[in-house]
Amino acid sequence: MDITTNKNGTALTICISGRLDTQTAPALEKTLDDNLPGATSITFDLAGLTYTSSAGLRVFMKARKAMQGQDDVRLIHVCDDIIEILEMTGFTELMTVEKDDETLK
Amino acid sequence: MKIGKKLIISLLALTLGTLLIVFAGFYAIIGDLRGDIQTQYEKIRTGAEQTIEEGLYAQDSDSLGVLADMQIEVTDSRLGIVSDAVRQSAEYAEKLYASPADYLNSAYDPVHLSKAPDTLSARYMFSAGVQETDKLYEELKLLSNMEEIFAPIMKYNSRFLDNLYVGTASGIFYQYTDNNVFLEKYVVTQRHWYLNSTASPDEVMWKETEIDSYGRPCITASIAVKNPAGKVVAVVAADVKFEQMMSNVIGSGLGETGTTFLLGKTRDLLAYSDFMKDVEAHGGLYNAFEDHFADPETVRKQIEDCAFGDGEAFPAELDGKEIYMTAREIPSTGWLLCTAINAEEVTEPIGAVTAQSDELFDDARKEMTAEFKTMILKAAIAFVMIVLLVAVIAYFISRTISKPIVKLTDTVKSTGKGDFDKKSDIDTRDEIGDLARGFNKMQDDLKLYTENLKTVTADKERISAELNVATQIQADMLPRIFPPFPQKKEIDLYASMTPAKEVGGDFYDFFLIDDDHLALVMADVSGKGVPAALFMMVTKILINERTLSGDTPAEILSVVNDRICANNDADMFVTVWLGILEISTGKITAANAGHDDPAVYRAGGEFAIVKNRHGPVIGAMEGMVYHDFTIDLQPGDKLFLYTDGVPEATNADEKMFTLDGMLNVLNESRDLSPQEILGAVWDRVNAFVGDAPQFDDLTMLCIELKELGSDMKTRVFPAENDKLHEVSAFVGEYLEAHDCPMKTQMQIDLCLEEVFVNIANYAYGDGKGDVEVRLSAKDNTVTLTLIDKGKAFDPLQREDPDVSLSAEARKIGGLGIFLVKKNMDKVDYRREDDKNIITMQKSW
Repeated sequence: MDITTNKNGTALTICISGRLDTQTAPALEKTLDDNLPGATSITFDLAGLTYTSSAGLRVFMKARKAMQGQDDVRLIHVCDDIIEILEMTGFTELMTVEKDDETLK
Repeated sequence: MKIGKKLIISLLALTLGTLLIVFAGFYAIIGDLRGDIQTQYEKIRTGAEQTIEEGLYAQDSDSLGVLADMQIEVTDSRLGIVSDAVRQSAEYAEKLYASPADYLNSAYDPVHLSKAPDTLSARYMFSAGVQETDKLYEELKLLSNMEEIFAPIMKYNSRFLDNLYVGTASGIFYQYTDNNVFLEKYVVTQRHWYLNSTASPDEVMWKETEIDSYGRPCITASIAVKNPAGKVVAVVAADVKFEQMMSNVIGSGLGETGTTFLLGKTRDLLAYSDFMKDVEAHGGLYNAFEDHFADPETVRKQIEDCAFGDGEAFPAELDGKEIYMTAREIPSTGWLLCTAINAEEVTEPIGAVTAQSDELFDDARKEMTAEFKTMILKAAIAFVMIVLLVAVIAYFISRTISKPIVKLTDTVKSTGKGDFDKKSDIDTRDEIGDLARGFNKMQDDLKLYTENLKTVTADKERISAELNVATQIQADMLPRIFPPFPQKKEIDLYASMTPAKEVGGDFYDFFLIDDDHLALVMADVSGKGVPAALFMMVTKILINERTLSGDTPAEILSVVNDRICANNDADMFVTVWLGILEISTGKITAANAGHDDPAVYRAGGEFAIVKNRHGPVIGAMEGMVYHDFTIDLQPGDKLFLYTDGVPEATNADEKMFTLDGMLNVLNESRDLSPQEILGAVWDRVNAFVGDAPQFDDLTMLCIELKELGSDMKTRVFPAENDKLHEVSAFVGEYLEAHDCPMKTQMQIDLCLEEVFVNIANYAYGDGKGDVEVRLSAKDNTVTLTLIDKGKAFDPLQREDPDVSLSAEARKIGGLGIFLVKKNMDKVDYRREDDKNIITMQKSW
């Protein structure tokens, strides 16, 4: 998994590619923990992400809990398979999820 | 061969033999008879010939004698006539000479001989050299008177008198004849007749045969003429035509060969039949006697003896021929007259008689032969007719004897076919009659017996039929369609049961509990027959029912035992081996209630008995506890279940097949299919038992695990999060290989991670342990099993998170198992042998 972080003021953008699983999630969680202070919105660019397990979802939830509102956490460039999981777990109601090619509410 | 035929042949053979002997005897006797008749005939013929010959001789002898007598008489009489003629003529001449004057004037005028005619007449001549004087003519004149007497004599006796003549001492030759031969040199006084008579002047002299002046054989009778002074002046003579005179005599013979001849005083032949021929041949007289008779002296003597003796005929040889002859003296001349006949002619009649007799005998013999032939033919016909008659009689006798037997045979045949009412109607007073009556009695007994038997049999048949139905029901209760689960490629199963009686107490069973679990049952009820069958059915149903409820085998057996004990008044029990095969893993969980341990074949190895813990038999006592054990089957392994009927199969020598025997045949056929293995065991047991009755039921079941859930893969990983990628790679590779779609792969990957992580985090607490990951995929369905030996924990029991809560109300984690449930088609958890087993299934 590759993680790249881009902090633009209070807007934090984390690009994740590869697999996000139990083994890799701790690295993402650490990146998030390191960049969370001062951030008011977090955007996860999942353009290169092919897989996420509950370990990944846990990090996303942690990020959501750290933000104020639904719009403060955005998952962009999400592939269909992952959207399905997000829908399954009710995450699409808790944060902004955008498909690979469009922005979903 | 049939009795009738034997009888006919025996009788015919006997008759033929007898007839042949009789016929041969008859033929031999006829042959002898023919020989005897021939011999007898020969004797008779020889005797007859002798008798006839003797008779013929006697007869011919007599005939010869009579003939000779007659001929003598004739001859003597004829000679007497000549003698008288000569004597009378002489007396007349003496008269002339006594008184010449009285006769000189006679008118008779004889002619000279040289001028004489050929007719009977008087003629004269003078001896040669005589002086023809007057005196001489005067004497001639006197003598011419002789015509007076010569003429009549000649006239009446010319038949055999040739001539009459007188010769005088003076030389006159006066003759009365028809012969006119003139002999110039003739001298009267020198002639034999003249000389003979002058020598013996008183009697008639007979000159024996000579050739006379005319060249003819003749005899001459002569007598002297004396003048009154007693002086011989002349001789009167007569030539006898000897031929004529004797022709009757000489010519007359007896029979065809009879001959007569005349012997003179010198006993020379004077006359005989061929006299003239001989004379001509010899040119004159000759002594023929010596020529004609072989032994002339003896014959002369015999002739003399005959003529002057008994006159009996005697045999002699004339001209080389045997003759019979007799002889007589001619008194007037002293000559002998002989009459002869050829002996041949005498015996000729014998030949004729013999020939006739032979002819008659030949005829008789031919007739006899014909008669014999007829007799033989008749005998042959009689022979054939007797044989035919005997054949016919034999046929009827044999029929009389064999007909009842044939009838009885028919009755026996129909009785054999079950017709007891067709009685034999033979009522003869012989052994066959006894047999027939005995048979009728037997028929009655049989009928009665058969009717009794029918009743008994009907009962038995009813029971048997019911038992058959029971057998059918029992058989129908056992699954008998093979292969039983065609869709289950993982297993090959075959089972069979051969009850010892109509119904047995053994049973096998197998059925799917769920898609992955197959129950295998092998049981043996104590005892046999209907009670055992009923008990078996109860047991089977109970086990089946309990097994489907999802208990482990030990639990099932325990419950079934309690249920059976509760109502087991019959004190029956049953041994049961119950196993549940997890098809996907090859794992068998089983429990044993006093049953024989199964034989297990490990791929590449051998069948061996696998001993496990036994519980008590079912039905003995309530409250029994049973224990589960496992047998893991790998692809290619086989499990063989059986009842004690197999190792304890007993042959006629009371020897058992034994467990080793069973293992031997199992191992010999270990590479075969379950059905073939069962067939091999069955054949071997049957061959071993041979004719001994099957004592126990023979029940077997064999299952082969061909593959573990098609492509089953198992790997054990350390239960650590670090190993997640390895596990994921293992599963991913497997899924890839089974053409699992990407999305499904991801879903499965997700679930695998969640469960694995769950185990890794919680199962072993602070300790370490392993996780066994089993994969099986089939028909677009993959089954994922994770087994750990950690503390019992069923993650599925955890409550699902409420996904509708607000972000604030929700927990950060706790979504793993939820995702598993959501993504998998089926998720199971069970705890077995202190293991946590989570099975997940996903289809696409």
